[in-house]
Amino acid sequence: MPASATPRKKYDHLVKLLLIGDSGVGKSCLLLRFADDSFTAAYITTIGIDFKIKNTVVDGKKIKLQVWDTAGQERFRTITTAYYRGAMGILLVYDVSEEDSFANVTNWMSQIDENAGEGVKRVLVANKCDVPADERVISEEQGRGLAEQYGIPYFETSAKNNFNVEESFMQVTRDVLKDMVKEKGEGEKEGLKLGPEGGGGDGGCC
Amino acid sequence: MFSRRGSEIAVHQVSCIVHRTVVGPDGVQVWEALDSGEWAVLRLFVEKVEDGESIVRLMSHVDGSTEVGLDELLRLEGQWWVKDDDWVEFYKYSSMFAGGEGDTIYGLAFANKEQCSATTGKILSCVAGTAAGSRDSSRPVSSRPISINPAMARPESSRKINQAPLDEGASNRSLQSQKSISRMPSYKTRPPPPPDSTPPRHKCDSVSLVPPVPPATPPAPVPTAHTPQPSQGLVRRGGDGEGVGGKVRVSSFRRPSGTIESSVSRTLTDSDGGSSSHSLVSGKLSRKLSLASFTSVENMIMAATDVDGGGMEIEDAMEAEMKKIEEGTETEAERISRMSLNTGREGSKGKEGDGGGGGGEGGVGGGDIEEEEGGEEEREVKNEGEPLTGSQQQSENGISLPTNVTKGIHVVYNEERAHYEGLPDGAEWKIMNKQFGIPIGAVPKTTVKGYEERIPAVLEMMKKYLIEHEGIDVVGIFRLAPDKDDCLWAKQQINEGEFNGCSDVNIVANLIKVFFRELPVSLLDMFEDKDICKIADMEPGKVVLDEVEKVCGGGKKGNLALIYWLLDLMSTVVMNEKVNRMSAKNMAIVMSPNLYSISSENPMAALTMSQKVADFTTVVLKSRLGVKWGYGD
Repeated sequence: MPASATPRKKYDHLVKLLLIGDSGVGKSCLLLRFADDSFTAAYITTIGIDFKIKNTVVDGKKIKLQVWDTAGQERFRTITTAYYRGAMGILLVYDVSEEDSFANVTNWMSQIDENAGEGVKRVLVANKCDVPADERVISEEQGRGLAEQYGIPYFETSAKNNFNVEESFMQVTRDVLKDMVKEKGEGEKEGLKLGPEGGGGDGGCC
Repeated sequence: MFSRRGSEIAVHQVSCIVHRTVVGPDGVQVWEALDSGEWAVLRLFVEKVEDGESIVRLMSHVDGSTEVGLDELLRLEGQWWVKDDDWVEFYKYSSMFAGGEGDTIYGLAFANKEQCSATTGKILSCVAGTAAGSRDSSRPVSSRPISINPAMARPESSRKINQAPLDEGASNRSLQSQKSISRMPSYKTRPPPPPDSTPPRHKCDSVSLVPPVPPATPPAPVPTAHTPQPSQGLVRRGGDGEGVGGKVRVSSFRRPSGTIESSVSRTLTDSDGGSSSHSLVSGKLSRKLSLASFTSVENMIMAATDVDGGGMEIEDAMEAEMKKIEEGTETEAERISRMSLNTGREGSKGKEGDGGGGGGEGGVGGGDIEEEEGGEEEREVKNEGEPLTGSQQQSENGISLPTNVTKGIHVVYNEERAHYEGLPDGAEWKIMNKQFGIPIGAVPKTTVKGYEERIPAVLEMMKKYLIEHEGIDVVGIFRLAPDKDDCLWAKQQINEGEFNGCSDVNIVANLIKVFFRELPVSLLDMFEDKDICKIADMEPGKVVLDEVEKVCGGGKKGNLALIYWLLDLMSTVVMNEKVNRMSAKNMAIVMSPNLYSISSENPMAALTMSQKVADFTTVVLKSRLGVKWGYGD
């Protein structure tokens, strides 16, 4: 296992994030906004899984973020759940104008429990908060309440208006890093904890 | 009487018992129930009779278990019919069952022998599958395969006979004789009058019954045979029945005509031991049955199934069998004398008696005991005399042939709403409405204009619902996920035939996807990966559809009609894409993962393939849009 601070690397940490949630809630748009700072109103469905890379700096460390964007289509889950294991952080997205996507958060949570690693960091993202008030069906209180139930951070976002997108991604990144540093400390003592690069080589990425 | 109108469906109920056959030294064959005495109930839903074809849906259900088997729809070139007489002239090949209503005969008629044979086997395998699934595998008897095909189960000698060609005269004679046989003991019918004389034991006309054994007669070595055991599965009776039955044995069987003695004897000489069950047998005497009625029916069916003109060989066959038997294939069963066959159904079937099918229910209902008791002495009796002891062997496990046929109820399949109407209460009936997760062939279908094959009625129902509720105007229809619990609830409603609409059209759109997703064999599975990849790279157009049809064997295989039906549904959505934003590509992406089973375990490979399938679906959908609907990008 390569040490995380190997100088030849262009980054200090590789963080693998995963976007999940119902079809059509805006996962791909959030990623597009976050990685490319753009937005498209085109109605595009993700096939299976897609990913983007974003380099950033957190607390002076160079971080390479590898964000996997999954298809919300249920049938793709056999494929997408395979990617849960490698994920260090998961953004669970719902659409504030789609009641079902909120109701299904519970199901996505159990998907995480079943498929993701134990210490995976989660954040609940309420997307499309730019919609007119009369189209919004899930209130902030509802979303926040649910997030509290799970004990995870909550963000209202709008990929369209670029609201809170960066913040939500950075929140989960920081949470991951926090554990990494901690584990690294323990790992050095115990010599068995998986370093941050542990899952870095198997994603088929650049 | 079975009506041929529309989708009215006659439901016939057939009982079979999971049994083993044992043969004694005197050639007497006795069937006994397996350990738990499973009864299998087979229900035949005769869905359609048109143009000389019947579509029969089979449902098998092992009593006391929750398992219900649904078989593929059988498309019969023959017809299921119920007739009192005069059928002989019309049907050469037939399986029939003694009726539950007096002399009424129920039967399946076929265009040829093969079909007749295959269908009977299928009926039985349907039951056998269910029965096998429900049995405790730890039991010795269960570890052996159940023989379901009578033709296969019979000894070589009679098989040979059965393969002899049928000649017209023989067939008529055989049917005549079957007819008379069919009036032999059944649950419902009165036993036939005793014969004028007792025939020789291996040539008796029917089931041989040993009259009630006097106390002095050495009966079965295990006295518990007389002990009432009401709690036991098979012998569901008040406890009085055990003593009633005479010593019933099934002997070699011969039809009256004497010339077409085909299936006759199910005397199954044991080839592979079965000693493991020996102790079991002796311990379970009270559950043992020698199924006189079954045998008569069985023989009848076998006669029908394997009608042949090989009468002259019968004698030889019989001789051979007898010889084998005398050489020591005695069986435990010889001791089995108590029979409670007819009462076995007690209690379990009472609730089914409400269907209004005439007296049929009674055949499996409360009438059994008295009829058996009353009729016992009248039955054709053959006194085998000798006590049954000695080294006895189990012969063969099996599923009895259908018997105890009743026309229990009359239901209607409402194709519009994709459910049966008039089913009695009870979970084992509800399952008939199951629509999801069963093979396409087993899903009830409806005729849809414009398609050569019938389309699963539930799909057409959901499509109509979707369109009537303006689902194609909903942004992201088929893409957006409905609430999972609501969706499951609606699915259950459909599966139970109780769907009355739902709160969200996305549910119905999703359930259409779910229907395809849960097919045991996916819609596009006859396309190989290379077909998918090839078509995925083609330009949309008629040539694409030609290629699809080619893979589908020109419609002969692979559900081409259903593929087109689905493409047209998708087209309907896409042609409204300005409103619902579902482009052909979007539509294809969300539908395609439900249509093809990706074999690869490797997520990367699976992803690549699923992208190919999405491309494939896009190309095919665009082709259909252009060719049939004149809709282009």
